[in-house]
Amino acid sequence: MGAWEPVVTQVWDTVVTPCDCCGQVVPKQLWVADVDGERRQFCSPECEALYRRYIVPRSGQVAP
Amino acid sequence: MPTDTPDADNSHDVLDPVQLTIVNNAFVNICREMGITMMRTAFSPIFNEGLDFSCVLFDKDGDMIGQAEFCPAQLAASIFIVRWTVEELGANSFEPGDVVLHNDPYRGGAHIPEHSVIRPVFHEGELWGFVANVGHLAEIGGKAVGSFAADATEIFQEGLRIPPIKLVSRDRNNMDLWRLIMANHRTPRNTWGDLNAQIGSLRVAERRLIELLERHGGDLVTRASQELMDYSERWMRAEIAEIPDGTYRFTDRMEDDGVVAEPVTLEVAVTVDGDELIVDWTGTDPQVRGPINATYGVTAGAVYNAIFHLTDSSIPKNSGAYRPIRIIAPPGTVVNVQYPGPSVGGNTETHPKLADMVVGALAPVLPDRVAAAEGASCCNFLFGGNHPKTGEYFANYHLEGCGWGAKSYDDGNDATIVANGNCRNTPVEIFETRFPLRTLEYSLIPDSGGAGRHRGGLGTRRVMRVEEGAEITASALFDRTKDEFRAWGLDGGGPGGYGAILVKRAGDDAFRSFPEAFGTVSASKFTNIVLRAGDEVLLDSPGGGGYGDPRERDRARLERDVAEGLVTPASARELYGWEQG
Amino acid sequence: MAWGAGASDDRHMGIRVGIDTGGTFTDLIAVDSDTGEWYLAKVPSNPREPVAAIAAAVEQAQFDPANVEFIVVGTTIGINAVLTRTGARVRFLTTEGFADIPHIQRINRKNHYDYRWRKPQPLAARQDCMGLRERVDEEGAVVVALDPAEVQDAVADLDADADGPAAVAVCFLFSYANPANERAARDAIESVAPELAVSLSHEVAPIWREYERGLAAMLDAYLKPALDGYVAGVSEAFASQGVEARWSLLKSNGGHAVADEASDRPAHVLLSGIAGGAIGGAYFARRRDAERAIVVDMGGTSCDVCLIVDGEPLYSSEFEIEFGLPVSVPTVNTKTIGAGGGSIGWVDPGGFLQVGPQSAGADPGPACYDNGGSEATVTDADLALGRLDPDFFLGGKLELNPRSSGAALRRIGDRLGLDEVDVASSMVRIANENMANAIRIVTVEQGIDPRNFAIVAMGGAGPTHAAEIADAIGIERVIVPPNPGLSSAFGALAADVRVDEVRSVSLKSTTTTGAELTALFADFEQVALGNFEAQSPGGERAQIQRTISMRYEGQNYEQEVTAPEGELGEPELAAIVERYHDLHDEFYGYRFEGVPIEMVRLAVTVTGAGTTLPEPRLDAQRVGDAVVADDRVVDVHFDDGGFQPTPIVDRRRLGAGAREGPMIVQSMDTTLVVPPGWRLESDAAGVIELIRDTGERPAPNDAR
Repeated sequence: MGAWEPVVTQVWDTVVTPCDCCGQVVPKQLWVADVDGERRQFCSPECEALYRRYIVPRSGQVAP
Repeated sequence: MPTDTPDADNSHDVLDPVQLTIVNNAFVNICREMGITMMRTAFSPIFNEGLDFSCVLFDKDGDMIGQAEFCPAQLAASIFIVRWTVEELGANSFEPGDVVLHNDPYRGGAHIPEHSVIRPVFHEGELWGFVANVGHLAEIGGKAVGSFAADATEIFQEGLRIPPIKLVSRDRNNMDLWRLIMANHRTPRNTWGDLNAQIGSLRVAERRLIELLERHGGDLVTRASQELMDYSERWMRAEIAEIPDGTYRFTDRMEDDGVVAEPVTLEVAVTVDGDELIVDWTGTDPQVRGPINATYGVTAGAVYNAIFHLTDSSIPKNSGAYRPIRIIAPPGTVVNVQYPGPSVGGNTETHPKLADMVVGALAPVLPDRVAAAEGASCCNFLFGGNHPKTGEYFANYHLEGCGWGAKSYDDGNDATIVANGNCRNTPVEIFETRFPLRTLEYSLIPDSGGAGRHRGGLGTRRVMRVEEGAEITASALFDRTKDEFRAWGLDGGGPGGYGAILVKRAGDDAFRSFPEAFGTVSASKFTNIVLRAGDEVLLDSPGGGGYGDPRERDRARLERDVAEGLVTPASARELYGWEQG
Repeated sequence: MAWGAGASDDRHMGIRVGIDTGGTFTDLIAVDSDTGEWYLAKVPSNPREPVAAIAAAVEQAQFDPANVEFIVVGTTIGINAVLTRTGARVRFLTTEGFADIPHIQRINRKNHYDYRWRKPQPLAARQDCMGLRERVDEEGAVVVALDPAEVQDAVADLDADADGPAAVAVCFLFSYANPANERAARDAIESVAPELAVSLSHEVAPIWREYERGLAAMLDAYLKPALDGYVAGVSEAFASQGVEARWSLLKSNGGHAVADEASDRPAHVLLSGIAGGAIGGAYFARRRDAERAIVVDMGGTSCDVCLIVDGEPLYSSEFEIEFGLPVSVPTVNTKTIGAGGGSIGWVDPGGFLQVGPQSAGADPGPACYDNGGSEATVTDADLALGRLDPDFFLGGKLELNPRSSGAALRRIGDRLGLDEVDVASSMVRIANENMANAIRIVTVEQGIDPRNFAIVAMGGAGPTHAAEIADAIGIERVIVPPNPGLSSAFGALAADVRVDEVRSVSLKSTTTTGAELTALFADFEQVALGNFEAQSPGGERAQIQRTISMRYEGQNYEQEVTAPEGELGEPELAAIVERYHDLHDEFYGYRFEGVPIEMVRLAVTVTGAGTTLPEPRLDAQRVGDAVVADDRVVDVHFDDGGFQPTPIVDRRRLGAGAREGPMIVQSMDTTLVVPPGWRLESDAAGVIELIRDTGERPAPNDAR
């Protein structure tokens, strides 16, 4: 399972980090998890779950 | 603190529902009072006449606990801005009397003209929550007058970007920041007035919230706010559970992004899974060069706007109501713009189309709750210049109402503002008193309502001429101005009429498009065109889509339409199968 | 206005009559200035024959018609015609290119998230809205003159006899700056169709904003034929009862005007019915020296709220009949809230108890009426808590069935796991809190803190709830007039002559001069004084008040600042500007030195010196044969202490003096509830005041 990691920014970093699942901003704490061998960063464990439950089964599929 | 065990059964801890109702009504009332104060004191017409602002209350964790009926465009933006700002700055960095200002579209904002102010509220020496409001400032610099740069390719052209900063520390204005902001806006006195109206209304709300806390006790109000969120969540889940499970898709297009003359495709898949909704925008085009990109806040707001149209409108609008709705907006697409992409038009042109798409996707399973598409363009027309009579500089943000979509049970409204806002039009008499343009016509456009068993609403036409001695610099941001991008109908209903922005230069006989007259890339989106005395501009707003087969339209209603001139006899025969006349 | 034991004012000898014709009842209050005798009547209204009830009320009042000196009538006939869309066919003439403005309106929506909402139905069909070639610019210069032949063509097909009455409304752009073309249009019509009524926008409402001004002209034309018929009918009804006195209509601004003349300006009579309540409330607020008060007139379905400041109701020109239909003429500023005795309690889908805004109204009414209503209303809750006497509701005219209330309340209770009394007390608390919230909004819109106000409780349900509403707001005084159910008729009786004239202007503090303001005011003050004199045959002395609506340049909402009479020099102008800064600072907490101040509207109000009425007396109640209930003690439920022994007193036996709550005071038109912690003071005239005992004040609605 994943773990919390701080978002480290410098004063010149004016760009924010989005969640790999929902696309929301992650201001301070990233939820980082390994999904099928790749590092993914989420806004919350709920988004990791949604990613596994919803995105992964659909990835690569073409919409009917 | 009361014991708050996660155990399933703690019903004896549940508050009296009467107290919850009273606390909820008080939260909403505080937000309303904040809004009235702001409306009465703000300086920009888009603010005080257009009511383009929202007022919200938050608990100390950054969950929204109350809001009143304000601008739907800020539904989501107002939630995310405060939560993310509190997380980014840290709750312990707030002191009594602070005000944080922020307009960064990449940090939850809807677009750069919208400025949020946030003030902490302390009770018995501890941080209890936040009062906040979001308002649209009419002029914030950037390449175009009125800060609607329809051909911007980067945020730097759209105006002054402000990340979360303390504009006021312990009730003392941080004047260095104020001066920095004033130096970057074209009408700084309006900025001064508007921001003071925003900050002044925060003090009103803070005072009211403290009264409420003193009256009921901080713990009780905290628990009530948490239970209210659970309550909204339960209610929203119950509403969603009534929609048949399944995945429902919808696709729409916008005509161009203002920079590249190519259509932009939007796609949504709405999955109803028991009492949860997943609204997935995967498949939407990658972020475009022009400013029709939507921020995450805009996309989420559009989804909530659609869902609130389809569910009971009395669900308290707190964070709980939003919990069962999951939104997937892939970063770097038109529905989730990333730095440094432009986004000013996403809020006005893209939001209503996204909202209509969610409604359209659910039409097969909710046929009696949905509506066909509305005109879905604010018809933003911006201009500025020096008034020939006074010599004073003016800037104006002008917009139009569109036709709304028909329903299974009724026609759509004519000439009504898009779903993401709720602005009024500017009376001709006020307009001509302030600006050197003469209005020649303001009328409904016959046949612009989509044909159907129930007819779409009509769009409007406005023609204006630049007065003697005047010269204006004009920009526009429209959509749905081409035949194949009209507002869609439902269940066999026809599309609404398309909009237009055309020009007739002094001495010309006829109106032409801006690409023809000025060589702009887009016919509906351009910046800083100089118009001189005698030039005329025509603004047509799009009509709404129809619902059902037009041949099934009640003949008495059709004949009334013809008698009133809303449908021409030719269209009545051709589209509705009218046999008389 | 003032009270006097012996009338010192010899202009108004004989009987003076106030009549209010509402939708349900027609009320009458009259007083004989010579004898000090009072007369009351209450008869059912008949919406189809509004005049019949007036004759019946005069008959019931049993005064000598030959002695009647003066009558003022308040009526809802105008507002009813608009709400039911049963006015005249209106031909709307406007500037070419703008004929659709009544249909386009202001483009905003009533609610977000509501596909079912429809825009207000315009008062003229689209084919009756016509554009004519003419144009005036923003400075009042005629750019295109009007062609009279074009006007005559536009009304040639209007046949008043063909499909009911018809009238013409004219609204040209910028007519408030120069009315020449509107006047020319009327002249052109008069020369070919002198019988056709014509309303000109600059006369009805000389304000800027073409939709609002045009709508005022349309309203005026829409109501003209019906109001003419009404005035003729009422004159006949009075004559049939032997009353030959001059009579006047109560206007929306709370003043009265001779009926024949008032009917020339129907838009100004539209809210006549609502104005009476506010004027009556203001009268009793002044009577108890409450310069700042909130009139709460709560009936079966709704509640009218009006603020009294400095002893006078607040006025507004922004009253909305419904969303999107504003009446832009001076109107007593009343807000209507959907809360009354008939408001229904219900459980929302989230499982919360709610009250209103749906109402059971008078028909079927609350469950306890046993008239087909099965839903629990606020009245049912009041009954279950022992606050209403089932045998003495409205003076015993209506018997209430507590069993029906109990059943309706238990149905709600079963869903919430509460018993009947819990549901009832919760409903009353929620209804009172809703009212308190609505009143806070009304006051905040005016930039006012309500807490140092008094409540004037009127209507059938007002006195029952006023003290607890006051608790929820933090108000410590409640004033109850002698006949809370007849207060609108009392308002008509107490009304004064009042003439309002307004002008839209576009001035700036930085460029205007005292001389310019003086000239502008002088111009229309003459018009106002002329109107006033026409209404005051007795030669009353006119009181003139000038106000200027001001705002910082760029703002959209104004504050009214009073200006002195006579010549305005630079010092007066500077004082006016300073007063504006102060007002803004007082209401909103900051001022903008150095920002120019716009003056957008000048107003002149001319009023008479006041009406002197004889002192009412406790024994003056003459209506019906009210059952005299014995004074007794029953158990009544209050949040503070639950059920407790509470005396019930007949109001006529209350006498002058003070008593401590809890107590219930019954009268023929209402039930007054005095909760624990409130003291009742009654004076010889029968005016009651409730006063909060501040010493032991518990936090209102504290956790139980």
